[in-house]
Amino acid sequence: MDISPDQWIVLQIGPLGINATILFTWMVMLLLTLSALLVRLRLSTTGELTRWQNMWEAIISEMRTQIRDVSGQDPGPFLPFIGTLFAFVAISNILAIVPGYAPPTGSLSTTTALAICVLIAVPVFGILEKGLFGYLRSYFQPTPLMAPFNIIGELSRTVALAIRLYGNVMSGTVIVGILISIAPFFFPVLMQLLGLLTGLIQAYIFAVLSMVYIASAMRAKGNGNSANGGKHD
Amino acid sequence: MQIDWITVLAQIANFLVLVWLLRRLLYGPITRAMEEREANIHDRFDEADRREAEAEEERIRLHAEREELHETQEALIARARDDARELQQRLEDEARAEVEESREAWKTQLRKEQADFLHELRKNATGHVTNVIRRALRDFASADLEEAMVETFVARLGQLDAKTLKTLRTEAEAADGIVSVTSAFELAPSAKARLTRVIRETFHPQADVKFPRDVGIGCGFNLKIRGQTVQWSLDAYLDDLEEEIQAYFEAAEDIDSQAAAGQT
Repeated sequence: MDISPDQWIVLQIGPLGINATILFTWMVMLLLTLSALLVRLRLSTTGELTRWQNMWEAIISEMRTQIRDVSGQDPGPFLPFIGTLFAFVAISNILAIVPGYAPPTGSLSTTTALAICVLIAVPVFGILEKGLFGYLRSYFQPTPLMAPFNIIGELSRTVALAIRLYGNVMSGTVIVGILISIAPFFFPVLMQLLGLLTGLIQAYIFAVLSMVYIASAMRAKGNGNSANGGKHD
Repeated sequence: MQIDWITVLAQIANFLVLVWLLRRLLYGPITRAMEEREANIHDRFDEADRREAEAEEERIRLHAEREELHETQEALIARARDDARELQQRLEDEARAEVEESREAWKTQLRKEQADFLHELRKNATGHVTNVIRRALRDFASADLEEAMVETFVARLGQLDAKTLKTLRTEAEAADGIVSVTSAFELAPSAKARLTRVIRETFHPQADVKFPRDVGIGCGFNLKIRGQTVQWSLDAYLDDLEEEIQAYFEAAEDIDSQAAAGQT
C-alpha cells in the first residue's frame, strides 16, 4: 500500500519530478490565494459584506481570539504565521473528501516542513521579544545544567508536532484504505466524515500548539519550559 | 515512512510563500477593514450617545418650556377670570345705577304727578265739596248751604274774643262803618240782611256792609274792616283732606319702595 503522496510522481518536468504532495500543496495554496483575492477585490469597510469576506472575518476574528487567549498578547504579529498554519492544514484535510485527492498533510515531509517552520519561528519570535541574549538565557533556566534538556525538549516537541499531524492524517487515509477492502460501501463514508472532523481538530491543535511554543519562548524567565508537556491529542 | 528532504524544502518554501501571500492579500486587508468598521461603529455609537445627550437636553428644555407655557396659560386664565369678574361687577353696578336712576326718575315723576293731582284736587275739591255739602244739607237737613255758612260765620263772629272785638270796632269807627263781606257766590238777600244786622250789632250800628264776590276765596267768607280781616272758609277742611291724601300717597310709596328693595 502506498501511503505517502511523496512517492506519487504526478508530473515529470525533465529531471524534476513533481510529486502529489507538492502538487496538492499548490492546489491548496491556489485555493487559499484565490479566496483571499476574492475577498481583497471586493473588500468592504461598511456594513455590506460579501459572503467570502464574512466567512474570512469570522475565521480570522476567532483566530485572533484564540491567539490572544493563548499568548495573552496582541495577536497582530502572530496572525499571519499561526493563521496560515491553521488554514493550510484545515483546507488540506477537508479536501480529503475529494476523490483522487491526497492530503499533503498525510506526507511526513509536509508535516516536518511545517514543524521546522515552527521550530524556526519559536526562537525568532522569542528573540524579537526578549532580545538574543534574553532568549538564549532561557535555555539555562532554572540552572545551566538544564540547558541540554531544554534543547532536547525543543527538538523533541518539534518532532512530536510533525509526527502527531502526520500520524493522524496518514492513519485516517490508511483506515479508509483498509475499510474499503473490507466493507467498501458504508464504513468508508463514515470514516471520511470522521476524517473531516479530525482534520479540523488537527489543524486547530497544530496551530494552538505552535502558538503555545512561541508564547512560551516569549514569556518571562522561569516560565520557559512550562508549555513542554502541555497538549496531547 | 520516510522523509523526502527535497519535498520538505519545497514545502517550507511553499508555506512561507503562502504566509506572505495571505498576509498581503487576506490578513492585513481584512484586519484593517475590521478595525475600520470597529472604529466606524465606535464613532456611530459615540454619535448616538451624543445625539442621545442632545435629545435629553432638548427634552429637558422642552419640558421646562412646556411648564413655563402652562404657568403662563394659568396666569392668563386667572387674569381673564379676574377681568371678567370685574366687568361683571361693573356691569351689575351700572345696571343697578341705571335701575336706581330710573326709579328715582319714576319717583320724581310720581311725586310731580302727586303734586299735580293734589293741586288739581285742591283746586276742584272746594267746588265739589261745596256742592256735595250743599246737596247733603239740602237733602238731609232741608237747609241751604249759604244759610248754614252764614249761620256758622255769624256764630264765629259771636265767638270772637274781646280784644279782637275791640280792635275791629275801633277799625269800624275809623272806616265810618264801611265793612265788606267777600264770598265766592252771590248771597241771598235774606242772608245779606242777616249778616248786615249781625255786623251792625257787633261792630258798628251804622255799618255800611258791602258784599263783593271773589271765587278765589273758596267756600267761606272774608270780613274786612279797613286793615283788619276775619276769615272763615272750607280751606281748613280742604287742607286736612289734602294732608290725609298726601299721607296716603306717602304710605303707598313706602310700600312700593320696600317691595322694590325686596326684589333686588
